Amino acid sequence: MSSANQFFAEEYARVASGLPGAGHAELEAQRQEALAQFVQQGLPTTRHEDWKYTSLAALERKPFPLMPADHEAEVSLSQIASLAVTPKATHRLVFVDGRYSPALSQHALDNGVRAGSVSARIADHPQAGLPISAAHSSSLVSLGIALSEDGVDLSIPQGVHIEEPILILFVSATSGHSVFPANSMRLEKGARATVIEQHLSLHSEAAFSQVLSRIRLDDDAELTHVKLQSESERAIHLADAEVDLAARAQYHSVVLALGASIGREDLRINLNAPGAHADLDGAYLPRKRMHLDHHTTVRHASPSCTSRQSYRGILDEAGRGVFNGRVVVERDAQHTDAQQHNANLLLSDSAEIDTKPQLEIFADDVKCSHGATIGQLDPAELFYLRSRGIDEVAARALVTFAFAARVLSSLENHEALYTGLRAALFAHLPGGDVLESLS
Amino acid sequence: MLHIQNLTAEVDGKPILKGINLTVNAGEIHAVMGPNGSGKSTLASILAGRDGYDITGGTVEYQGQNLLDMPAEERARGGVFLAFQYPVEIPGVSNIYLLKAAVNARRRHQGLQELDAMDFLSLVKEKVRFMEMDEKMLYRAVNEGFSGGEKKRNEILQMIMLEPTLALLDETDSGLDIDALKVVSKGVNSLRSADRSMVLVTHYQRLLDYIKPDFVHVLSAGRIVKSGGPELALELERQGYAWLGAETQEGSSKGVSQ
Repeated sequence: MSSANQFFAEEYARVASGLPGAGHAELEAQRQEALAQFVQQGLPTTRHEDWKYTSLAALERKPFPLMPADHEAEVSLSQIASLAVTPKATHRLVFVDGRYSPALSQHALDNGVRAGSVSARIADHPQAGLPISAAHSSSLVSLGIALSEDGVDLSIPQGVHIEEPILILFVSATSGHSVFPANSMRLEKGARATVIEQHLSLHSEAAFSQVLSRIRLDDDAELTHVKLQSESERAIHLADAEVDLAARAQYHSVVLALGASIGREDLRINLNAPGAHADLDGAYLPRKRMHLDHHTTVRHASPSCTSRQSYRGILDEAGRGVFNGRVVVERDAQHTDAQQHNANLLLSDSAEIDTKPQLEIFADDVKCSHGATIGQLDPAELFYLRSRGIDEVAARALVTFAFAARVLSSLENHEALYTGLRAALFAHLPGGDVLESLS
Repeated sequence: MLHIQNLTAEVDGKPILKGINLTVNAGEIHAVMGPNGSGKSTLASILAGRDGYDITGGTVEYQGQNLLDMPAEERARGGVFLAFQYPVEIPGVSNIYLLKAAVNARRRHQGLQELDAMDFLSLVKEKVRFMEMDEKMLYRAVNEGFSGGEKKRNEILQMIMLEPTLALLDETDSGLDIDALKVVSKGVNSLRSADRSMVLVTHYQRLLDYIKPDFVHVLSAGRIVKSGGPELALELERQGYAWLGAETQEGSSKGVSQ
């Protein structure tokens, strides 16, 4: 048995009695089954096709323990306000070191909306089980299920529209530990909401988080899901999200990856009934020695569904990016319209991108397109700006920002959110401070 | 204002400018004409500070300063403006953002206070109307998806917002229909003043029907081979560039006009 397998098996034995649902036979069985799957398979290695470019050897060598059961980090409301992408969010659910913090959270949601923590949900209704099943799951997902401590529990009843975005903040306050949030979101028929999921660190040290999310949209439901990942540049952040869409449901994802030494987003979209639509926008901005990987799978399982993917990479210094976009069109999914595009900007000679579209089409009446580009800053654009009096640093920053900001363009109507994400980009980009003063 | 002496330049080891002499005084409009490949656009680009040219000799003095030592952005702030032959599309950067950044960079350089958002907006809207453009283009990405005529109008809009001291117009008439040409000319003529100079680079005489130059120079194979008044342009229109052949061989570069 490799070190990580043994390590996490021992961690489970150490913390099991304190995990949500402990003492409840079915829940414990669910966790043990997941753990057994993980122990059997272990962490993925670069020999796995899906992990060819992303090595978890560092985690294998040095896995991090879970937080002690009685762990409580000191985080103040003013810290939250200064770090949140939308500091004035009306609805805010805060998780510190993987655990829900009622003191830092607030919301004014009624109409039967359930917005809180999975741990509280399990305490109230253990028979509901863990929000995620280990059946057919990867070893990492199994690990996350076995060790899941908490997560968002969001459920919006039929026809309810939540106008104000719901901010879900995951704060890593203590370094050197592992956290395993498992989130569950369900929008019933015709419900509508915007969720902002933000992950950040209060330290600049190593830590490990593995985030599972399961999202279900019933007929005509609409969810805009923004994710901002700006963890410590020494952290490992692995995320696995799966979204199921019913008829005419719409899912819009915007992912901005700015942090972590190893960041990986697995996003699987299942378009299960006619008329479902998914819009996936993403930007990854590795610098220094960061490695950011995005794997998407859009499964067209039903006729007349549409999907659009646009991912953009800005790679600086020795930063490395991976984009693997898979589109599967099943045999019955006629009249599918699927588009995918990946554009990359290399700002340094040592930056690297591996991009791979994967189209698997089993239907015959479909419209599918994909494309990938890799380029550098255009000297003609830079000269044009300089000839208008804008200095070189600002010109480079402006063109770079404009390249990245296109993934945010759909959010321009959410003014506070757009401003917050733009500020996060400014803070990350070379010369961003100059842009801040221009805007 | 602008004093070019014996300027020589190469691209990839190939000589393009072979000794340009040109003096432009305040308030003057000079047209630089010539056949394709004569070096007209290269001259305009070098004056604006575009990279990629090896200046192998000569000097360029602008308002008493060595222009060739200044980075492009400093020239722009100091009042040099190049209207591009092929304006560049910049996806993701809105026109209004660029205009504001450019105007304020110039104002800071001039020791003036930056325009606040309201003053800037009312000024830019007035100029947009003057150039007979749609206000919506202010919020579109710079030149992205613009027609040829829209791009050229946009160049002149930037110019009248920036109020340059030395305007260089590179083939501004190319690709314009007669209506657009009139609007563009109106914009350029609105800037004519005793303390502002312009250099119009053009292949055809047509533009000069609308913007009357004080001097016309003929550039051929990297040298100014003939200089004169507006009548020279008409002669070129009648006879083409071929009749200059002999003089081109001579390599006469008496281009200094006062």
